[in-house]
Amino acid sequence: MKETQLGNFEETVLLLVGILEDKAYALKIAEEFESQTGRKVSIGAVHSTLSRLTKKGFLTSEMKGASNERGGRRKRVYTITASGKHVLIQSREFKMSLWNQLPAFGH
Amino acid sequence: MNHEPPKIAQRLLSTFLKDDLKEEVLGDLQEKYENMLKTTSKRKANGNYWYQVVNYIRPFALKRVAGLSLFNTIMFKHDVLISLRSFRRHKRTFLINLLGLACGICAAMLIYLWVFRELSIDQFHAKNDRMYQVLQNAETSAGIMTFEYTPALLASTLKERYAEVESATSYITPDYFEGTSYLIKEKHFFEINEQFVDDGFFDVFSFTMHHGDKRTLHNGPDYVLISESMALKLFGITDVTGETVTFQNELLKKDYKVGGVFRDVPSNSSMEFDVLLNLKEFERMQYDYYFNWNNNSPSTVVVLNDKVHLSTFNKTIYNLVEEFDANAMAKLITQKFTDRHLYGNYDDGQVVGGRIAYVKLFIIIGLVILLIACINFMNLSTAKASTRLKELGVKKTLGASRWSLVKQYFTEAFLIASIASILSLILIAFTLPFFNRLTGSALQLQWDFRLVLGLAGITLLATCLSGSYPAFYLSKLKTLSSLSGRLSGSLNDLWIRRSLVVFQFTAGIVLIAAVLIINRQIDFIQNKNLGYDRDNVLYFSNDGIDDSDVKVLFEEIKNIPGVLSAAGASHNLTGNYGRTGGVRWPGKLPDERLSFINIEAGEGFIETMGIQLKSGRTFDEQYGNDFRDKVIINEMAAEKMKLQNPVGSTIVLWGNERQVIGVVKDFHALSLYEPIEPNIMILSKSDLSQTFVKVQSTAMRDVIGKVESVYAKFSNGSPFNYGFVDEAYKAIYSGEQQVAQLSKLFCGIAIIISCLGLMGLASFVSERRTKEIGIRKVLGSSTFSLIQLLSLDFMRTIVLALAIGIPLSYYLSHQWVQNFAYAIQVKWWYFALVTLMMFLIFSLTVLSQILKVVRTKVVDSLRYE
Repeated sequence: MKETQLGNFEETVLLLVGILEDKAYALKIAEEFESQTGRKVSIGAVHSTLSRLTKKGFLTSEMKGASNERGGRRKRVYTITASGKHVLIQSREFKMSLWNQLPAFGH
Repeated sequence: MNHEPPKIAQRLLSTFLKDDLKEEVLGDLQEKYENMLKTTSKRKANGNYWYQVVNYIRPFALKRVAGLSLFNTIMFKHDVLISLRSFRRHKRTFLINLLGLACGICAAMLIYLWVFRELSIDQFHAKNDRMYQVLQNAETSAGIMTFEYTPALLASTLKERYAEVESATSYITPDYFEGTSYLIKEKHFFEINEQFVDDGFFDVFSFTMHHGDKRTLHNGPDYVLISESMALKLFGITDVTGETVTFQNELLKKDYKVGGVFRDVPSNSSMEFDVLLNLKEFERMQYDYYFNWNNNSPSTVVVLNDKVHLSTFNKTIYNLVEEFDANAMAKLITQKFTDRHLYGNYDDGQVVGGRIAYVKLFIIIGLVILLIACINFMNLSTAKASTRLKELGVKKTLGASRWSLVKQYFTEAFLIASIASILSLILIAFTLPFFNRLTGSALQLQWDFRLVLGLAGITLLATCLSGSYPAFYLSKLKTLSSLSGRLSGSLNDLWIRRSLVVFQFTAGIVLIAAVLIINRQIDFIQNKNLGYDRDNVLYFSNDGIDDSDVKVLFEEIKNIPGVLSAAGASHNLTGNYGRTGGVRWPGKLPDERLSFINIEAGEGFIETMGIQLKSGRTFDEQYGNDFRDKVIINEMAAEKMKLQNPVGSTIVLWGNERQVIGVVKDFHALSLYEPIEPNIMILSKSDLSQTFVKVQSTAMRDVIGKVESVYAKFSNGSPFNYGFVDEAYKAIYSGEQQVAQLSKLFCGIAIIISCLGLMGLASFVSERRTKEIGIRKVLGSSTFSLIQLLSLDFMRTIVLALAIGIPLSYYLSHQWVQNFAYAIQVKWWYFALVTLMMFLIFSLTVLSQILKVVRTKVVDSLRYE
């Protein structure tokens, strides 16, 4: 099977974008990451991954929703593209197939 | 309501962040900041804002800055090509530059590796930032002295009393024992460094186990831990837990089980041992006074918790010993354990540096050598520039910007520095073993992060130093004048170039003077009359010899032809074997405190060591009671005690009255760092750890073999371990020896590099004037006047350098010799010698080049070009 082009962190971020739906912008994704994994991450690190995923075509984004607590600035909200969904499914299937071959967990 | 995040952080962010990311990022960070403020303090929120900003320094978020791309590929290739061509055309200059830089980089790298190692000593301990060694300051007649030995109960007391002390350990270092120690397996003796440690040892120090459990050591009295390589030496394998070995040192001989094998002590540990024993085994062999608070044997190291306030802690323990023993003179101080290696000198109870002085000295020397090599490059490339002026002019006419010319020269400098650093790696590979032998270290050329970082750093530094001046000087030249080939050397430029050469020479002068004076001082110390005769004195430790046999042993040794005399003692007059304050004398003031170096010696020791008697007599066992109530003192002791007629007067030593039977002339019982102190000598019949044998100088070789066979009769199998007093004395100064050797090495390198540069410059300057010289010759100039003409400029430079260098080196050497209690006089003729050497070097390099040109046949020189 074709090797997935996703790193571990990338995959997590991609999934988080899907979970957060219309609230998926860098800060919220970073916070969600921290609360789900318990690990600390900087907004910059998440942002750089987001931009990489966009470049690979797994994400699109648009600017919207200025609010007062952001000093009236808009935020960039990300959504998963079709190819992003595809790569996630592929990655899951690949892992499932590996799990199924693991003798200790045999049927 | 909005709060304002830290302004500087915001400004920083906007300097590097891409414009189209600004809105979202600033928005996100603002929102985060507001969220943080709701739950935590403003300080934390600000801290987090900074953290987030710094974490945006990532490639994707950085602005593209126009024109900053240094490696615009096409121009870069062009610059490389031009540089390579110019290397090929000016092979000589290129080689001189390359060799000079390679030597410079090599020296700098060696120093870098050495310094890095010095700084890494003891840093491998996990708790290194909280480990403190407790030292004691004791008042002696020579001022306050600092010792690392502390009372036996100190560690446990500190731990019980103070909450700040997380853990504490007390241990006996290998230095404690004068004799050699062995592990014995099937009659094979293996020399070891043993350390007796208590159960806190592994809580404080991070030494790791290879096999077995380190706690075994303190489970019972019958276990030892040995190092991996010791296990290999003894058994050929490392997993030897449970095997039995015999341990022997001057205190005890006993069979132990190997409780475990620890990994070898890293080479960057100041503590060196290969066998660990239970401290209880040591204590078992001691008398009750071992636990007295005025007896100092073990070293004490504590780990303090991070809440400790160090100066308060120091204050609380300062007088601790006095609480237990009102008579004790010791005051406790602490020093960070990792500082002990580099800051190991104490004066008046304060830390006054130590090896760190050498580290700093060599960093400076390394930089100076690198600078000298770079100056060669600067001088030669600016001098050579006159031949490349046309190239410059054409480039400028075609619209080359100044920046691109600067880049070209930097590329050239970088290229040559890179080639030189590769060459220097080869040089280092060859010189490292030699360097290691000089410094007594075990540096290795390993491809690791540290080496690459150092090499890259030094190469870049060399590039910047050597490329900067040519780049900015040459790119500044006017297009017209460079096309016409006239170098309108302004006064400023000439001044810079000349001062560079002057600097080079001044550095050379200072280095030559340094080598001369360091070596004179060390010679002086090693040959100084110490008040005793240390030549041809053999000594060996009395390991394995029963006290009852000692007398027979002496008789047999004295009967060996060539042996002049023999005696036992527990002091070899080269090290610090302790002092005593327990002396009272008639006329002593109640609060007068005086400490004496006490030497316990056998009959004949004074004669064997050639210590001179001033009045009275030496010890003689025939009188029968010399060892009970007699004492010999030195002149200094008599003077300090203000004894009018020392011989015959009575003093009280350790509570017993003793009569002074003799006064000896002052001699140095310690190194020359220390001034002479009062000495007290008592005759001792037993417990003398060493035997000293004075031998006729011609018979030394035969005598050693015979002494060994006599020793073997009594030693119960212990190997014969001997040394010479004069060598033991030299070993005290091994630090100075190393510095002397290294200074010679680096000074040599520096002088070679300067000579290379000077030679290059001289040959270039005189070649340029070949035609002129031809014409002058035709018109009847004498060779002498031509030499004068050509060398005048260099001569001036040298005289100027001497004018600066001589006073400077006088000042520096004067400062340096102040470190010694007994120093040479810095004499004028040292500097005359330096001047002479400079002129010698000058004539070898400059004059040889000039002569070559002057001697050229007139026809050839006129046809030149």
